[in-house]
Amino acid sequence: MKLHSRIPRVLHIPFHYIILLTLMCSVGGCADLQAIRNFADQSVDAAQHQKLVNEYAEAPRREKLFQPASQQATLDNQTKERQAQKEQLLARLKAVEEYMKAMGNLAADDAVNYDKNVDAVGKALKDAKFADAKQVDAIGTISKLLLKAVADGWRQKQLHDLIAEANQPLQIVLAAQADIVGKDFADSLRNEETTIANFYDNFLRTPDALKEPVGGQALREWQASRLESFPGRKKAVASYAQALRKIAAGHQELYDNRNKLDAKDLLKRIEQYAKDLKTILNAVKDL
Amino acid sequence: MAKLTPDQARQLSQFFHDLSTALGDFRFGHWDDLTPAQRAQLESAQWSLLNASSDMTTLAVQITLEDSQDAFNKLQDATAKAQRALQRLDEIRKVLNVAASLVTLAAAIISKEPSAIFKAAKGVVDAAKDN
Repeated sequence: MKLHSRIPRVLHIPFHYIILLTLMCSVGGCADLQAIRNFADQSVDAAQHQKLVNEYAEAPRREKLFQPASQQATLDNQTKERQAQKEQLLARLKAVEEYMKAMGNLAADDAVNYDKNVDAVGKALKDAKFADAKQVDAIGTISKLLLKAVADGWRQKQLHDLIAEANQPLQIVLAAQADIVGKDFADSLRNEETTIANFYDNFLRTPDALKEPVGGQALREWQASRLESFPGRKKAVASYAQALRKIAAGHQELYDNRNKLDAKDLLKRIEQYAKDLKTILNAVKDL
Repeated sequence: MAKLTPDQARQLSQFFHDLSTALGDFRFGHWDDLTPAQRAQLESAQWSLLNASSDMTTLAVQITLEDSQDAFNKLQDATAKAQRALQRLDEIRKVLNVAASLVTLAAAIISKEPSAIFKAAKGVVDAAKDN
């Protein structure tokens, strides 16, 4: 007797469905892309960090306190220019955030959950007496899996296409942003630090300061206190630039392996990118 | 004149900064050799050079932003496409809702019960409204 004929009749349809399901899973659906989701979530978190952009834009305004009247107009102009840049810099971060959200949603296993809808169709079939209870249950179970396989396959195709299309512009945008943060924000901090140091040096390095040792000591303490935050802030911009480069490198991995996004070794590496990003970001936030 | 590259602007920023610092060192190192007017002139130049350094930093950011504007636009386009794809996933769910309510309506029509038909028809309207 053939195996198929031994299976109760009510299960014949599901048997065929199972074969179909297996085929559908093998062509792209039914994969767990949680690692990509985690990487995207961490990237979103990084892109939402706006503090350093605000600090850069506000630097000339802070420096006004320490510079002579003759330089105030120049600093006002710089403030104006940097405020305009701030909008652009935040728009870039927003674009990365939105992109990563979309990528994360396409990678999410729970992005497509049709269980309730299939149950509703099943109930409607049963109520209409188009199928008996057993058939409805079987059809429902298989339909859920089938629908998920189809939707997952479609979703993964969208994810593949998105990564393929977005990688090049994303790499350029992230490299630009990392350069701006790692180089220009650092230069801005360097100049702000020099401005504050100069302000106090104009008293402390003159021969007259030697005549006022107590006042000089007090000024030195003020100077030290004003400059205290700079090493931490410099470290923060360097770490944040590193985070942006990490996002770029993780996405490049995804792009290079876009035809096998469910490969275990790739997902393991992407999970590590997500963990590294989290560590770097925690360090940035603590500084 | 050809446009500066961001790295050239950064080099100039560093150069102006270092010049400014060197002027400050010179001023304090030769304090007694300088007249008050000369000291004031040097101090002014020192601040101007430091601010020129900051101007170069602002310029480096501006050039980098401009150079990557095209990529920024493309990234936004790709994201918009992905968002539309996600909306389609949601549309499939909505269509299933309507399908379920239509099956109920069909069953009600077969049963020829006016109250059931009315109730099922309302279900279709509600499902369609949700969409």
